[in-house]
Amino acid sequence: MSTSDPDSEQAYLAAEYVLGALEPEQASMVAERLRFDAVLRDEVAVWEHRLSILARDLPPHPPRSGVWQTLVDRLGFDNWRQQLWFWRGMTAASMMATLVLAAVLVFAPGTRPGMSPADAPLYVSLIRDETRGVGWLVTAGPDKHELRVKTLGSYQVPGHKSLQLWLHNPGGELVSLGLLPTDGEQRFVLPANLAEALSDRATLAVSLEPPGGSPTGRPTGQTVSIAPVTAETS
Amino acid sequence: MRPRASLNAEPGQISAWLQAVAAGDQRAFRRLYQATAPKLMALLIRILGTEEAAEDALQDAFVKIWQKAGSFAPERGSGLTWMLTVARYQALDMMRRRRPMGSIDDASAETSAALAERAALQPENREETMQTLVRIQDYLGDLPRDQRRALMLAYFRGMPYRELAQRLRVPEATIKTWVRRGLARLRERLKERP
Repeated sequence: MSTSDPDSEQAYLAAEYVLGALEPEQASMVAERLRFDAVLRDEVAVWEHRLSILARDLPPHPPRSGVWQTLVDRLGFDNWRQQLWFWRGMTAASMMATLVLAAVLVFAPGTRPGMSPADAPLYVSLIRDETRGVGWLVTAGPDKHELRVKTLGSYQVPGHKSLQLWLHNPGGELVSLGLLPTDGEQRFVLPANLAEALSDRATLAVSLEPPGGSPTGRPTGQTVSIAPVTAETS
Repeated sequence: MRPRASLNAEPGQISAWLQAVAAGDQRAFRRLYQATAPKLMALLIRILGTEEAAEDALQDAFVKIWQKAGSFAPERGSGLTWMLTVARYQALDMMRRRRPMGSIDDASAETSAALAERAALQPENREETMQTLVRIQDYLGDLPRDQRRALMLAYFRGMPYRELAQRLRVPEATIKTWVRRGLARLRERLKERP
């Protein structure tokens, strides 16, 4: 980081900005300058650290336990958890139906010319949007080099939005796998770190995002569906 | 009795959690909250005055932390500093929205007496609070009382120069000189720390 003379007008301006001593219009001007003035940004960072010493030394005060619950409700974490439990709690019959459907689609003669038993997919997931009666069959081979996504039906995406596929791994990370096709089939190459994360403890999710996908790297729109990944261990 | 809690994570750990949160890691977010919420809460109570208001601000701050963790740059400062900054701006914004300027006794809020009063309300924190007073005294101790007061009011109340001048009944130019002396004092004292 580069900073100016500590007694320069700019250094004090940064300090006064962080402190809150500037009048609103002056603070707005500094905020605007921060967008393109790297030295001023560094000055501000230095003063944020210096002045934080006044806050760091205050005796800790734990919030009441209800604050955390309200927070996760606001962020929608519980929705994820509830859906996960729903899917994990699926009856054996419906799970079998999923696997049978997967097997039929993947192993049926003629669906993949030249496929040998060695190519048999190890990981299967069926993501369904019950309200639209459309789904995606997601499969990956033992090497987990790529995901194959087959659309079951044709999906009409509302409002020119995009459907984004996410991998929710057991570590709690939510990683984008890319945009889903609305019909037909598509393949996604899995980078090594994602291949490692793909397991029978992982979950796939689909969210509705702005055209081209989430601008934040996290789901921002409605969750369309969520489904577990099943490992076939034949 | 409320359990005592302190920051139970290394600075590097907080940065690592923030980076995981930026990638959408909810478990890291929970750990981050457990480790830092008591520190942020202490600051928010100091600014807003009541536990209820502080808890509202704490939630808003953590929503921002969840949404903005990607903008945290470890090379520019510690994770805790970044989080304290987010929480402080959140509380100052909330305070400005909730009250007309000067409607409460801001002057008393920054005094050592206010901290001591809080210590009396929370006996389990008394020793830590007194240590805090000693440390703030150490950073700014040899400043005249009004100069220290101006600095603390700006930091914990977000009072700009004009309002400080009215509050402390001195010309704005004088307030500016006081605050800058206080800032220079703090800078020098922190430079002396190992």
